[in-house]
Amino acid sequence: MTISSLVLSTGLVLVLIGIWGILTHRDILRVIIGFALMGTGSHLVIIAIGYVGNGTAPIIDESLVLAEAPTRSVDPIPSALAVTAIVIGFAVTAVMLAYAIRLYQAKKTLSIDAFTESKW
Amino acid sequence: MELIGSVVVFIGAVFLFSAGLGMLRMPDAFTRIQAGTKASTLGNTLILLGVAFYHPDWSLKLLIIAYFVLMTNPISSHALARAANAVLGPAAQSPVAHPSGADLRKRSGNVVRRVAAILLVVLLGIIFATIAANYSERTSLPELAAAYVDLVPRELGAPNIITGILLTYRAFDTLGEVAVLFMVAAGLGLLLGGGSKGLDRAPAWESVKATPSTEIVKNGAEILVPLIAIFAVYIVMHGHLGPGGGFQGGAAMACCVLLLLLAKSNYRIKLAHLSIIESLAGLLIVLVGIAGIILAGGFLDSRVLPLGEFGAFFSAGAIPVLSILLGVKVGCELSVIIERFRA
Repeated sequence: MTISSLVLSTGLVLVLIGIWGILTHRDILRVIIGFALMGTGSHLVIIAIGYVGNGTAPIIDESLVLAEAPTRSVDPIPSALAVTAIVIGFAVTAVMLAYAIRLYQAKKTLSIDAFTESKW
Repeated sequence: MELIGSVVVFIGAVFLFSAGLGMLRMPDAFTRIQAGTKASTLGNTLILLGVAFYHPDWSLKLLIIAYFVLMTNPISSHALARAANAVLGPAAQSPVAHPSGADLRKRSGNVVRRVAAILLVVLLGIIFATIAANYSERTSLPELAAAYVDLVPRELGAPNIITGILLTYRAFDTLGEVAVLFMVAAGLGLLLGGGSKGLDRAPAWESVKATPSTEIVKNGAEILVPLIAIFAVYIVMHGHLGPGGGFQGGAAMACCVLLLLLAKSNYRIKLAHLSIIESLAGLLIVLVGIAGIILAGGFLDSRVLPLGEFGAFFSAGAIPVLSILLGVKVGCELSVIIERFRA
């Protein structure tokens, strides 16, 4: 069991827990928490697949000298992607929470059961 | 030494686990806050202590992190408990805050839907399990990554390769990201702002009279806000040298604003000022980008300024400038989003 496969499995399990939460909970806030869990899990997966055995962070300093960088650093692209994913995840969560507030104002409840008429 | 460190980290992990367990099992909001805060404060501190056994030379940094944990956790839990007290009433008479499991199961009722959910999760679980089982760790960098690792220090003079990718090679994507954040800030204004005819504008928590914050939150904010602000500026300024950058520093700055809003309940953010600063930062980013077309290789090429000495504070061309502008812009946008949710 390598470190990155442990992180990968944790991320995939988190994604599963998130999907389970989205599908089974009736409270909109809990559904949003499910989405957030899914996002966090996918960040872990992205980071895990960028790991190179015995690698370190792709930052040149005293622990990673320039000459060693191509052999000892992890893949920087998934890390850059994860920054993007975190920012977009934050934006999506903010919009979902704003909609939750509006739905609460309309019906005085956060249960999905109250919003059946807007279902497809 | 490493054995002691591992044992301490393990004890910390046990406390963090008990925090999670407490969140699940405790009956109401107040006991859950208590379980989460106490256990996670102790767990985090123990883990930091364990890491200090592994790397004694990190002790000062770990001490500072522990200080932040010990300051912020009680303040946030205090604020949470006050909010719960305001909405739910005092602890003694507070009902169970969420419907119990049996109640939920009765209401979700529809067996078919539940079976479908189980089936979907199980199938996805099988797919994920095969992915995890067939995964093998890389032993060398893929071609594109190797190119970036080689190019960023050599062409851009930036020690932090991720920042180099984010602020030069893929800077156009970063610009798009900031645009998404801007749209969210503007969209929340539409969703949550005024002009909601026909809808009752007062949710439950607005009917509660806003009470001024207590001494704990006020004093805590007075101590923490300057420190967090300095830390945020440090993160932004060292984005090209070490871990950090505009997004991270901007988020830390927004935490400052959030703490101020918690501590001073009548503190109003001037949205107009923020949007002017934010627009200026955005305009400057685009101007630096256009300068890149004229003076260097293309839009948002950071080599418009001299690269300087590798690893020095003033180096890596325009990357620190872009990082600062990005930090200002992200900090403003996140503050606007926080303020929108409060209104």
